[in-house]
Amino acid sequence: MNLRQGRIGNQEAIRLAILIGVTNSAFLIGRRESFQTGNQSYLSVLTGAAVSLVVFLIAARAMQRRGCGNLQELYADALGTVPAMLLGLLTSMLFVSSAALPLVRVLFTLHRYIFVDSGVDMLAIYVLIALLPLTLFGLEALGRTAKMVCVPVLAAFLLMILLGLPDYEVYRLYPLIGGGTVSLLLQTGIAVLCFLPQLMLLLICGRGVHGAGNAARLGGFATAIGGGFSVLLQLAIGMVFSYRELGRMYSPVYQLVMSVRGGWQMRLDKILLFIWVIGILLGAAALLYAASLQFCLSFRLRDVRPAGAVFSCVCTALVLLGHEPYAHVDLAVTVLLRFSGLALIGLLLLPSLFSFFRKERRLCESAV
Amino acid sequence: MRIRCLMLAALLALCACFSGCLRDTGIDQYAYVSAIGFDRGEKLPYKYTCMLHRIDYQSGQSRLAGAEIVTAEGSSLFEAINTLSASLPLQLSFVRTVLLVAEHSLLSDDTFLRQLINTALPSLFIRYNASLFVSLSSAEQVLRGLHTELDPGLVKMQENFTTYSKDTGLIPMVNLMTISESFADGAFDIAAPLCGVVSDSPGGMQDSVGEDPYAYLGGNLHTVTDMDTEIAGAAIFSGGRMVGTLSGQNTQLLQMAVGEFDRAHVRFGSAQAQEIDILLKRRSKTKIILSGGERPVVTFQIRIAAFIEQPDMFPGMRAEQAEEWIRSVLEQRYLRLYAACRSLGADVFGIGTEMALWCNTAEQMESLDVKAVYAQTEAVFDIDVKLTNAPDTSAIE
Repeated sequence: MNLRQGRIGNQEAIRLAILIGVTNSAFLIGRRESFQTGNQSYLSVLTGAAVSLVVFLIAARAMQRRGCGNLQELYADALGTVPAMLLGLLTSMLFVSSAALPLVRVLFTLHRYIFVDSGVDMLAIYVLIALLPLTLFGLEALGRTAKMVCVPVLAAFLLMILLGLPDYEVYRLYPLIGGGTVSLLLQTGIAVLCFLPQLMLLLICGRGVHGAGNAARLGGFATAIGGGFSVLLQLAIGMVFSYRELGRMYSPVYQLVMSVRGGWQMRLDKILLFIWVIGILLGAAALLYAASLQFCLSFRLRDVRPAGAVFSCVCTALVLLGHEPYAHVDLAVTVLLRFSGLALIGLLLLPSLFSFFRKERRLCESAV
Repeated sequence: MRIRCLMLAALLALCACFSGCLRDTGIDQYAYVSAIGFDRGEKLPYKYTCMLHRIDYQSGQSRLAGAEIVTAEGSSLFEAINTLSASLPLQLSFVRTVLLVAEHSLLSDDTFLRQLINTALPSLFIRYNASLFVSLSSAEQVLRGLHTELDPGLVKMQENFTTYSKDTGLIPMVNLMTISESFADGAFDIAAPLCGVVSDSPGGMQDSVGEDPYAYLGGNLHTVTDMDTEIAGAAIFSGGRMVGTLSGQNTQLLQMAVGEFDRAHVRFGSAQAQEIDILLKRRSKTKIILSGGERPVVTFQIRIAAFIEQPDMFPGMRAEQAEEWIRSVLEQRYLRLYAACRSLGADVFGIGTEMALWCNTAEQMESLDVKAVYAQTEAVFDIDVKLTNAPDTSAIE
């Protein structure tokens, strides 16, 4: 048995979840087509975080009620062994794509603004080098590294927000809630993809975070802090760039630090970007580990490392694929962005609803 | 476990460092373009002047060596870069470009700036905080005029221009991000700092408001310095086209009205027809309130503190009378300035940004004709002056 799960403390789990939420929302929210009719990103982050938290709490409650130690046990308990395997596989695949999507944007930013003369494939090698060991070391190493990295990453975002202060103007947020309900719902779907995976990670590694009850508590804290921070971040971006400008930008977060007035901040952009890259790589590795663990639990494999290695390579391949200038790739990315969150919601709500029809059963403490 | 975590953190940091060495080009093989000047070419449409710096690797320190100026002509910026690259043994890098100087005749229509923003800049990766200056002389002369024995470096110089703008109000500052926003939104027009080299009448440009016997304009100042280039005044634009100039004195008023102003010595004509300077300081942020209707009215609430350094110019005048006199002079000058800008169609006061607050949907925003509303908008300047000293006593008393 080499699932590399172990157990992590509350601080490690919260910081890991915050790190993934904030870095994902900073790079995933704000695709160019999202700003055709106005900027709603600050609102969609809020609704996305709220929806994710509600769905997560329902699933965590269902797990507690049925005495399930992790998400795979909930699948099996609610739907039976074979459907649970399929749901487990689907969850793993969605987690790999959830890890890859923000990395596509990060790699694009690195390629476009820093390593202009280098190919994306050369940069992707370094992504793989970072992802592979992080994924293989497992949850404990990831959690404790997140405990160290989370504060510097948040501080880097905070510094970015402060640097933009002289340029903030409220008129750039107008038209307020432009685009209406449909646009808000679509963007909420993307925001769910930023906040739900790390909450699901807590459920997948249920035993590693001391049970579903504790996971629910930690998830609540992490979403409140990470969601609040992300709203602040999106407001800052919205007050520096109007929706028309955002509609032409690829990486508003990095553009913001590139645009600060001269002086000592001149070279700060690259330092901040690399701190964010560290955070995003760690977050992606955590999601890949969760995908590997879910896969192993679904198919009753005893070693997480082969799956982890394969998923890291698949993720890097997806990141490279995301840079191909083909229409069907763009379509696939758009579909994944818009509907992955919805699929994850389904993967949590469906077994939870089934389990609520069953009699309450609690797991004895020693099994947690 | 602690060691493992530290190893992981170190590995992440190393990965970030490794990716700096994807090619075998050393940093001393680059020539960093600090400033670019744009002029009309003799043979080809454009003439480009680049101020280059190199890393001084021979000194063993990572500092920039002295500047060198090179020029090339081309039909586009890319062509000029290719020509330059072929004649230089170095690779050109634009990541440190902080200053763009455009000769004023290039800006008679919006083509040049649009091309610069839409095509050249996103491809050359010039940072969006690079400042734009408009030159009344040729841009090449201006860049050569910036080169002095002091050689503070252009990044430092850009920082000093920003401080100069805040502390004197004699120039506005505009960077590529603001220009890009102005083009994308059309909600306001830009005002760029004016520069020129010392000559009798560079570019033959005059202040668009007029009525000032000694208008501070770059290249027209009665100064002698080590640097030939002078910077004072503003070029005002309407939709990316330069439509006029403002003297340093009028730029001070503009900067005060748009809130980009901390303090300045403003020249007033005294009651005895003698020129006096009064130090004005911002008391609070300027408020701009736009009311709608058939005849929109924009109100600028300007709160300033005044310090009279030559109180003997106001014999027998009480503090309230002096405050009222300063207020009325400022109001008259503001009304003249506003009328001049409005007649030129240059919304440098940013009234269009206030119109954005009227829009609830993107359709409303797109259909809003900012220029048409601006042409109808009357301005009220609600100026409140507080004297920090009495005019009938000296500062020491």
